[in-house]
Amino acid sequence: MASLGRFALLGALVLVFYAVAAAVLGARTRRAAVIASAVRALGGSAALLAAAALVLFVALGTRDYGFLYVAAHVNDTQPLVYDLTAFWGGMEGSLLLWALVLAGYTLLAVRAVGRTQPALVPGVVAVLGGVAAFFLLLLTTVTSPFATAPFPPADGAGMNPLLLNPWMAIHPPTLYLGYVGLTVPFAIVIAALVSGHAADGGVLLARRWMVWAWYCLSMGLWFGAKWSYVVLGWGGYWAWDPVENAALMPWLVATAFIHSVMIQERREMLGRWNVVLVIVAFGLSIFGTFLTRSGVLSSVHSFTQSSLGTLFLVFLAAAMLAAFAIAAWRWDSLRGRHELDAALSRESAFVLNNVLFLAIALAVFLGTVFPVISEVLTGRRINVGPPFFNHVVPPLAVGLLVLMGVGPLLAWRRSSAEHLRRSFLAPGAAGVAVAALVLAGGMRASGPILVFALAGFVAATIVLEFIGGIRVRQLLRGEPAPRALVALVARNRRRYGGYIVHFGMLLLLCGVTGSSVFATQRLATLAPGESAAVGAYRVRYDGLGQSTAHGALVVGARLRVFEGARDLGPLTAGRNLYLNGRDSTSDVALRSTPRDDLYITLVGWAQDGRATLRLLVNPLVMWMWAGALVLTAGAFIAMAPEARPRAAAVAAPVRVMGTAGR
Amino acid sequence: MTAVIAVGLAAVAAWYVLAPLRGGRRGAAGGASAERAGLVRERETALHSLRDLALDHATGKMSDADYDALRSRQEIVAIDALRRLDALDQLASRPATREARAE
Repeated sequence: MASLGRFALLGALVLVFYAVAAAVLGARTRRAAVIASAVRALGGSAALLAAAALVLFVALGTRDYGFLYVAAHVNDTQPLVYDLTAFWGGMEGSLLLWALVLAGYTLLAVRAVGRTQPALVPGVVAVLGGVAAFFLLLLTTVTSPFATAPFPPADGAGMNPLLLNPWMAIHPPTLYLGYVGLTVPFAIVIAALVSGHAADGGVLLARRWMVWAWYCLSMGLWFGAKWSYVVLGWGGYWAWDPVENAALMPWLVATAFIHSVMIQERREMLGRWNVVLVIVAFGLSIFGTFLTRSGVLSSVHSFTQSSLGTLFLVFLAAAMLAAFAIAAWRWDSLRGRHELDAALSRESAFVLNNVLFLAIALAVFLGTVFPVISEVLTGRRINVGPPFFNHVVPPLAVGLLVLMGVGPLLAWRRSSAEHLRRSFLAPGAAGVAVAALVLAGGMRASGPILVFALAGFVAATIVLEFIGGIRVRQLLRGEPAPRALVALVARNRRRYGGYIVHFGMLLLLCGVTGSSVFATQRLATLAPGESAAVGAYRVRYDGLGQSTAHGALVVGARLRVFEGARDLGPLTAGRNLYLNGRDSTSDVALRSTPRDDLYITLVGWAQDGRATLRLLVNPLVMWMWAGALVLTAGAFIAMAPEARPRAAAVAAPVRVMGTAGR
Repeated sequence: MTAVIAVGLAAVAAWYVLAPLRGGRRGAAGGASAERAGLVRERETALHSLRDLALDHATGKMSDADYDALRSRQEIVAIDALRRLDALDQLASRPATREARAE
């Protein structure tokens, strides 16, 4: 079976090489048959990759320890679901997943591009085939998931216990959907540049793919944060770890692109800038994989380290060099047709928004690679760590928060002072009201007050945007408010989906601010029957219990939680000690409410039954998770295809005005 | 057994991938369909922009003068795309019309 997997990968590699060559030849000779053959080769490659993935899944599911990969990531006590998710629990499987996801995206992208911009198909095939060839070369010549052992062990090593968690089961594939998804807009833009179609829609065609990749990255980051929170047991969800940063950087650049591409659509400006953003986002996705796979930086993800980093770095350098050379070659054709008319305009807000996103991405990049830079320059490895990021990023994020509220209120081209005064009055009042409210509630730290006040301001602008749109429909069409709301969103999905995403981001920012600024914690060693207070809670320790599960000894502290005189019920904080003697994990005792999370970990215990507990109260954490759900709703609304506008609107412009929001 | 499956798969893949070349099609890549697709996209982008501008104007975010200027430009783009699409469609329907007349 392993040889079948190896053959499938080799066949897929041969086919992508053929696809790239045929696409280039077809484009040069303008022969449709050759291009069609190239597209079919990618289809065949995808089928072979699917076959290879099936072989690995079967080997994992049947615990075939003849496969080195299976022996390293599965054992007899591991639940079956984690045997299967071990597919992406190790490097070889992750690379296969990457190639498989890319193959799936390639089929979809070639089909979509073929329908709307057929001239780009050869270029898209060549670029996506080229990227696939790199991953298939790694899988066939450097690190194969189908390597076999001459003498299979009786049992495997199993996955790192930290990975045996539902959030970690879905975190890597979601993140990969985002990382790999960034390859598609890159391929479209490069194809558009090479074929000379960048100015007439090539970059715009990349937008929808970028939004999807952005959404997957968002969810991947969110799942990773959730895993960190419930599994690692340190009470936080984001540690500015290099691998976390690796996913954040392309997310920031993709977010900048999603905003700036709107200016290209409306005003035919920023074409060059958008091309650069697409290239950089792709480069950062490969750089992220380099960081994860190279082990060049210490990380909580160190279980993924290998010597593949150099190969990724060479590929990244070659891809960036080629992409920027092509962009430079077509630079003149990307010149915008217009310039900014006024400093106070929606375009200016978007440009500033891009500057801030890129500034954060640059700060994260520098902070992440600084240990390597310092080692190269001075011979000493200097880690800047979370304090650097916590000082640099929040002010820039506050700037983005301001723009999130201001942007939608500004008019395209220019805003008058009167318009600004009228638009800002109600949202400004909402912001002041929120500030007064949190001050009255006892909050004194200026930073959080500013964030919550701005969140109130932005939330008000979003609500007013909805109300304004509903009113227009009511005036023009006499619809009742609920129907007008549904029609408004359905007919303007990108705009109102975007506002809903903004609302999700607001919840996220409030959650981050509340939990990072107002968290309280204490360490308490308690005898059975004793209690410790933290925040508004009192936690009573009722003794230790022991059990075994999935190859681990589970030690659990039985707890009872009270708020004042109210009994909130039992909780258990546990520690899993794996029988291999190497690994241990925490079972966090967690009680979540919209106000705060009570988060308890078992730090240690003594022979006499006393236990040491770490007790934390993290305010507003639930808002972050809720924010991700709202963001999902908004992203899906924004990604859904918009209803086709009626061509009659052009022939009769007056009717367009009369059907605003239609 | 594995070798037989491998050879079988390779043969199927080669047959599938090379099928378009066997037909001897020598048509130009892209051509009229590419131009049409590009024009349809251009038209729809312009129409979406017009709808968006109308909403901004109706909700009081844009002065009449700016709205007129931006709308005019998008209308020119949309009308131009529509005209070129019409011309392309007429060109495509000519042989069919001649054939119908001949019958």
